[in-house]
Amino acid sequence: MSKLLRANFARIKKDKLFWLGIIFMIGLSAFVTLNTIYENDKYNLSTTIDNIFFGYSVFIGIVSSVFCSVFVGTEYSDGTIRNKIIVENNREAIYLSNLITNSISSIIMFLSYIIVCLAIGVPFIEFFQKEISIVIITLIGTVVMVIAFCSIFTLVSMLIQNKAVSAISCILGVFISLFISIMIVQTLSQSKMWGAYSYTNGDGELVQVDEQENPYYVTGYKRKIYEFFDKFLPTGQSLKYSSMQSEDFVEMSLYSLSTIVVTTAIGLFIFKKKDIK
Amino acid sequence: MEYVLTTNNLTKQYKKFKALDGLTMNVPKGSIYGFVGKNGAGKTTLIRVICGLQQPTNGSYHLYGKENNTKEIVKSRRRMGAVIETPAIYLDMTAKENLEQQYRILGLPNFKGIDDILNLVGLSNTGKKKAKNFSLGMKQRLGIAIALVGDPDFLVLDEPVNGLDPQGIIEIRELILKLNREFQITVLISSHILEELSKLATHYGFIDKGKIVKEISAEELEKDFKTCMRVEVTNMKVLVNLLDQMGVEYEVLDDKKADIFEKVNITSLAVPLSQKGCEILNIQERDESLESYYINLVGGGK
Repeated sequence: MSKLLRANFARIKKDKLFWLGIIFMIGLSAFVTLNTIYENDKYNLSTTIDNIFFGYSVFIGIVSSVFCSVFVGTEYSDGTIRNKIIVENNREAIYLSNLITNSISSIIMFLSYIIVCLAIGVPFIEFFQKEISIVIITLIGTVVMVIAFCSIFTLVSMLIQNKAVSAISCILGVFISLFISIMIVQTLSQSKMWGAYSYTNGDGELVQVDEQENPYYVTGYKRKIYEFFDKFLPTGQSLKYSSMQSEDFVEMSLYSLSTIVVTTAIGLFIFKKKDIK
Repeated sequence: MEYVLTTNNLTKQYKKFKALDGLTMNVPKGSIYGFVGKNGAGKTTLIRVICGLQQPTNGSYHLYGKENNTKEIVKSRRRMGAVIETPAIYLDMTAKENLEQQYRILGLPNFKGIDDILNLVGLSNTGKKKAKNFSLGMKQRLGIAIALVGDPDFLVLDEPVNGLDPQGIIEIRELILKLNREFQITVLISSHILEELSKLATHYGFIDKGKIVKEISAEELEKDFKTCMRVEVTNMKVLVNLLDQMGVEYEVLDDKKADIFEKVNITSLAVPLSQKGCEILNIQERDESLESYYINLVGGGK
């Protein structure tokens, strides 16, 4: 497998999409950090680095979906996966080397965000308010989350021999998942009760409305399902980590690890038997 | 005789379609084995199976004496290189970068020999040109170059001259002959361009509907070719009557021409025809071609 990894990383160095991903994350980080500095200065705010440091976690899934699907898809479209299989009959090694390459490349992309954020932000923005242990836990959580993303994209792109179809599947999939996670967050953040309020009607009379139950508040097993998917989906985790909500770090990391194990096991099983054209 | 590849009742079934149906063949060491069959006969499927891209449904094959379902087959595959349908090359890399990738995949310690391989296939002057800007012939040659990394002694080429111009076809043919004669590389080449194959192959395997119909060496094939005499006459009826009396195999082409498939003494033909008022306008000896041999073997339309 080391030979395959060596070949993959040599390819990454020349891969335009990899460098585009890094440039995007650097640009994103610079924009977010500079904007925070500007707003702090103009409106006399005191936004700390906590609020922007993990901003990459929402975007890394999207960037990773593009990179992983095209990187692996090119092996099928150019036919070069055939060279690997003919020479290296160990299909597990081929699959795992692609998974490792995808994961490391995606981690390098988000690290480039972090480096720029620190380089520009630390001199001008107040340092972390939260404890460093929380920062480290959140960082580890995002690493596991990114690997979970990559394991899903690797599964899809290793099993679909058409580069365009696998790219569309990965990119659409991550956007759909993100929309679902946003909807889940909005639903779960609904308050149980609508507070009491009063208003003056057309006749000039004061009308009192008592506190009432929010009909959109989800309860019971339905709430449990929403809460599960909020933490299980990598996109749900990305929303939490972006604002450093890492109270459920252990649970979310376990979900990510299970995603990695299950998708990789399925991918290995199917790829091993797959007829390659 | 030593064989590089032997297959034993190899079968490959795709849902309702049987691409290989009990295929048994033997590729002798040092040969250029021409694998002949029409589109959809099973040529590419067989190549995919022996290269490990697909598993056979039934049957087995041996590569350098190692059976396909043993661990040792991996070592045997290291001794082969293959170009299957389209050349497997990274389009965004140069020729040299593509070869460097293959060196890395094989785990070779350095890039020694890359220039020699590029020289051998005639791509040493491509410089920084990316493979996506290569002509089809250049891409084919790069595919062969990649297959040659690691010094294989068995090369599998699936329709290597498809889509090439005459110059490209000549270049590939000369390269294959050089690899076989100078480097003693056994070559399995599949094609449906019979004329080209006839200039290369030392052995033939004719495949039809997933089965080997016949395996034969080029020498034996030459002997097997039917001699044919094409006769043009003024009265076909008279000729036909005479040939029937002589008990000779023939085929009428039109109202003036017929092919006679046995050696016939011309005098014994001309004299009786002349006596019945039939003149011979033209006689030509025509040797059977690989094409007609193949058509007769698998049965085809006119």
